[in-house]
Amino acid sequence: MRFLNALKSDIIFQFKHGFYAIYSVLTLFYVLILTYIPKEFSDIIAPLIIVSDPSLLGFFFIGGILMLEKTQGILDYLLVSPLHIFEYLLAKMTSLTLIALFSSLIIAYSSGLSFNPFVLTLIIIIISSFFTLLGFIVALQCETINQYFVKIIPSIILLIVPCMLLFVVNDLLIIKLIPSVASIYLILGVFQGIYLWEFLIYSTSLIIFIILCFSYIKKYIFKILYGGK
Amino acid sequence: MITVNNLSFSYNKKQPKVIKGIDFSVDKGEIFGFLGPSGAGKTTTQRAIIGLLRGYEGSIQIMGRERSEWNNEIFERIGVAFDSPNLYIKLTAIENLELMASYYQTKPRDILKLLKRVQLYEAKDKKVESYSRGMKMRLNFIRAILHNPTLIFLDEPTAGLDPVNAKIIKDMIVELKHQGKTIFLTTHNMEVADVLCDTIAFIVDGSIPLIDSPKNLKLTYGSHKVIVEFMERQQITSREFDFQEIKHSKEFLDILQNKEIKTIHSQEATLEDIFIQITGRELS
Ligand SMILES: Nc1ncnc2c1ncn2[C@@H]1O[C@H](COP(=O)(O)OP(=O)(O)OP(=O)(O)O)[C@@H](O)[C@H]1O
Ligand SMILES: [Mg+2]
Repeated sequence: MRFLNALKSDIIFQFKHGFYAIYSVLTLFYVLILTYIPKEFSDIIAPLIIVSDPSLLGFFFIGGILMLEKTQGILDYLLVSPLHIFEYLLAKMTSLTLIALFSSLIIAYSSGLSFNPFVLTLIIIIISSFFTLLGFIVALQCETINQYFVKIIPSIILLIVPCMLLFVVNDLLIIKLIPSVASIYLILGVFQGIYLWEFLIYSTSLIIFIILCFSYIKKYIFKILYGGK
Repeated sequence: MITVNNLSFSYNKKQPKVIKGIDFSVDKGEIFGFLGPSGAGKTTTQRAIIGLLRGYEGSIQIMGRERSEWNNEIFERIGVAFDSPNLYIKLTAIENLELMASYYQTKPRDILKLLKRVQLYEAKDKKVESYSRGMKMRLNFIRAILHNPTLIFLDEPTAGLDPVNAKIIKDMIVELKHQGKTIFLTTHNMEVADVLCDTIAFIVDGSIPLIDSPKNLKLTYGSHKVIVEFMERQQITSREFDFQEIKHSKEFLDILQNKEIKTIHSQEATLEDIFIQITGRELS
């Protein structure tokens, strides 16, 4: 199966480039924080750490991986192999989602909070899928690492600012539909409880954004990768 | 194997075309070479045929079908070595080959044997980042033929290789031909074009002024010269004579009989001479 081989390649690639080492250190660091801070803080800190795992890390890691592959010319070679670009993309998403899941579950268990692991898993998959697709789109447009650091700025602003706005207004539905905010509410919900309709609204929003990303990639990827008019 | 008709391409709508309506065909089992100076459009044409460029004009028939009608399955039968090696630098040679081989349905050729052949066996377990450029080029080359493709594209296959390793690669290319593979290579090295290719297309500024076999090119365009160096008034002087003419040349016979000869060379026109003669451009 080409997809499974692509997944295996990604895991080897990420391992050799030290991504797993970074993840392990971070996870350990978070676990230590959570064991030392008082219980009343971990109620809010644990979910925030957990939401950063599939989102922030997913976004930056896929960017880093794609840029590494681009600068090594790997992507050029994969384009002349039978591997389909969507098998390639799915393998990337799966590999990063697997690490995010692993790390989130460890952090969640060590926080001492109660939660439903199946719901958490489902939500992590959704969040991770969106952010890796977004990071993929951004990195796809860049040829050099410097370009990448410039081009991620708009996405970061668009995702972080609405989270900040939460401190000012927290009952505006439109803000809550923004992927970063929706992700925070979903993860908070895993630990503090959430109405079904809320869960459905947030996750539907994320899924719509996932579909948008996919259609963008489907439409433009060959144009971006191949060049020409 | 490949038939290209009136192919044009520009990277940007606003810019002039870099390929300007070229025609050629590559037969099964031959080594076909694109010879031309830097910027002539060799890589561009090759990438268009491989399927890495969108929006070309004209037609590219490959293995019996228009290029745009093929899906990814075509890559099971095509091998590509780009002009700059693109490898997983944190992986070893073996890991690189095994990883890529896993995407193909065909069972890969004997990896260790191939590594031995290009003198990478000793370095097979070293990370590619520690490789020299020449080593990377050789690994890049064997990766292109690992899945036993029937049509092989090589972009400057011997660039940056020392003579010994260049010879190994050239020998392997000839072996591939004897196995019935079709090879399309680009080069601005006339020696490579001369010894390897059955057919050579001269390409300059996106056009192909001439296509023929190296032998015919030399017969048709090349002159064969004899250069004599001899002493005249205490100085070494030299004269050039057309090879066909020397029998009848009084001056040549006179020099032979009456002068102190230092050297006599016979010189054949190189493809480079012919290239300059036809295109008015140098290869490098
Ligand atoms: N990605 C690109 N975008 C825009 N122009 C390009 C691109 N790649 C090549 N060109 C231009 O197209 C022309 C043909 O380039 P090409 O790389 O095909 O030449 P080449 O014959 O392979 O040269 P070389 O011997 O240096 O490899 C050149 O003028 C080059 O500047
Ligand atoms: Mg080139």
